[in-house]
Amino acid sequence: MEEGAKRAIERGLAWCGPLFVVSIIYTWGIMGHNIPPPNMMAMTPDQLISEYYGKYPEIGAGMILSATFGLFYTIWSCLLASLMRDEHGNVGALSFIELAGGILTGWLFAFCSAMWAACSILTGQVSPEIIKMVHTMTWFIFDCTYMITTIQMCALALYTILNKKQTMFPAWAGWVSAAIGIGFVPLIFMPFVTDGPFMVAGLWNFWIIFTGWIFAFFGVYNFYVLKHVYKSTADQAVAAGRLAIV
Amino acid sequence: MQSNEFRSDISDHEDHPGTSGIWTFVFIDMVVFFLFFLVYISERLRLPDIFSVSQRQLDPLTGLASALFLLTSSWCMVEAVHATRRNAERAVALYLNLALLLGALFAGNKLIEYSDKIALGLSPVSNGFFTFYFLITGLHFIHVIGGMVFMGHCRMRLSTELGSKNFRKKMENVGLFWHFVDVLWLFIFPMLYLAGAK
Repeated sequence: MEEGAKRAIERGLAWCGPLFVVSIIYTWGIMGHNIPPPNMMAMTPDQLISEYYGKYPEIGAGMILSATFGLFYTIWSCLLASLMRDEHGNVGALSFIELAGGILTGWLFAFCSAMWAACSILTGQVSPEIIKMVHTMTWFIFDCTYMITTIQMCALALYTILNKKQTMFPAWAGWVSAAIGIGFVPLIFMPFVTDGPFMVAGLWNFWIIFTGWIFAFFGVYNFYVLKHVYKSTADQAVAAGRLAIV
Repeated sequence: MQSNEFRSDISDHEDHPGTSGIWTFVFIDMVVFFLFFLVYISERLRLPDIFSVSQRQLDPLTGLASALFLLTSSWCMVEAVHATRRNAERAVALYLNLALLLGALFAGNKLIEYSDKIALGLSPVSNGFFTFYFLITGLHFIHVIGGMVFMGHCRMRLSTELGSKNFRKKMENVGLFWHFVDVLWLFIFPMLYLAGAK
């Protein structure tokens, strides 16, 4: 492939990151009325219908769109994995772990959004109990498989911190990534609490970790990836630690 | 020459204890715990009665014992770092061993406390207070275990690496981390065990 085409593709893939952020906030968050999500563990099936799915019919459309845009996270993660090479240009285990986490996180967004879309569209056609079961089960899948994203963030953190030759990403970004990845752990309490900071819409399990993930991790790495892909080929190789600094 | 804007060499910090990485890590870890503390306080203000009554299930003497173990262990670690700078191998070994022993006493004390609570039917989902209790002390406990692993690594490498700049920096990093773990407990103990208990 020509160098120019390769660089154009890289830049396009890099912009998938900001596109993911903006589209998910609008489709999943605003259209999907998930800022914050309903506290389904404290709601009866009829309440979930009357106060959420029945009240906001645009949720179905929002979730279908979210299922589309969710995969832009995977695209961005693939680009990131291709950048995480050692000084010999080889892709190692950390890159594969980051890639696996990114693929699965994107899949989670797509799959869970499709499930919530089904709940919205089928409201009135199936019993509220079934709607609540599918809604709740999907949130368990979305939240309680946090390790998918945690391993991605920790792999990226280890690469950032331990690869002293690379200058694409600052060390502090790696530490922040690891901290946020580990900050997901309290999600294990989500299925068991009906109020407080660890419920599905709680101060910690929703506001702090989702905001932290979107802005302090994704936003930061987005910035540095975009900065990197606009460098010259030679500067990119130096930043990735593959060429000696002269 | 292109400057390496993100990386600092060990030699850049000859006069400062530890490396920039450990300071960054400690700072970010501190921010995370600070957020947990803030969320705990906000929840405590929302449910004062549940939190006050639940605190009575904790034994302040157990928390105090834990604090004493960690404080003394921290002092041992300080002495171990001083001894490292003097290349005094036997002193380093002695103080590292003591620090590890006291860390193990803290860990044992904590495990006994956890099993007592579980035997009483208490768990992270019993109520809001115990969610925080198990979460915050559990995260701290993981830090204690991590610190002991690092200390154990230094103890194993002592005879072969003492005298090198790298080993000195390693000991300083471990010392910094251990002091941070100790300071964390000095906040956790009064917050969970003492403040507001009825």
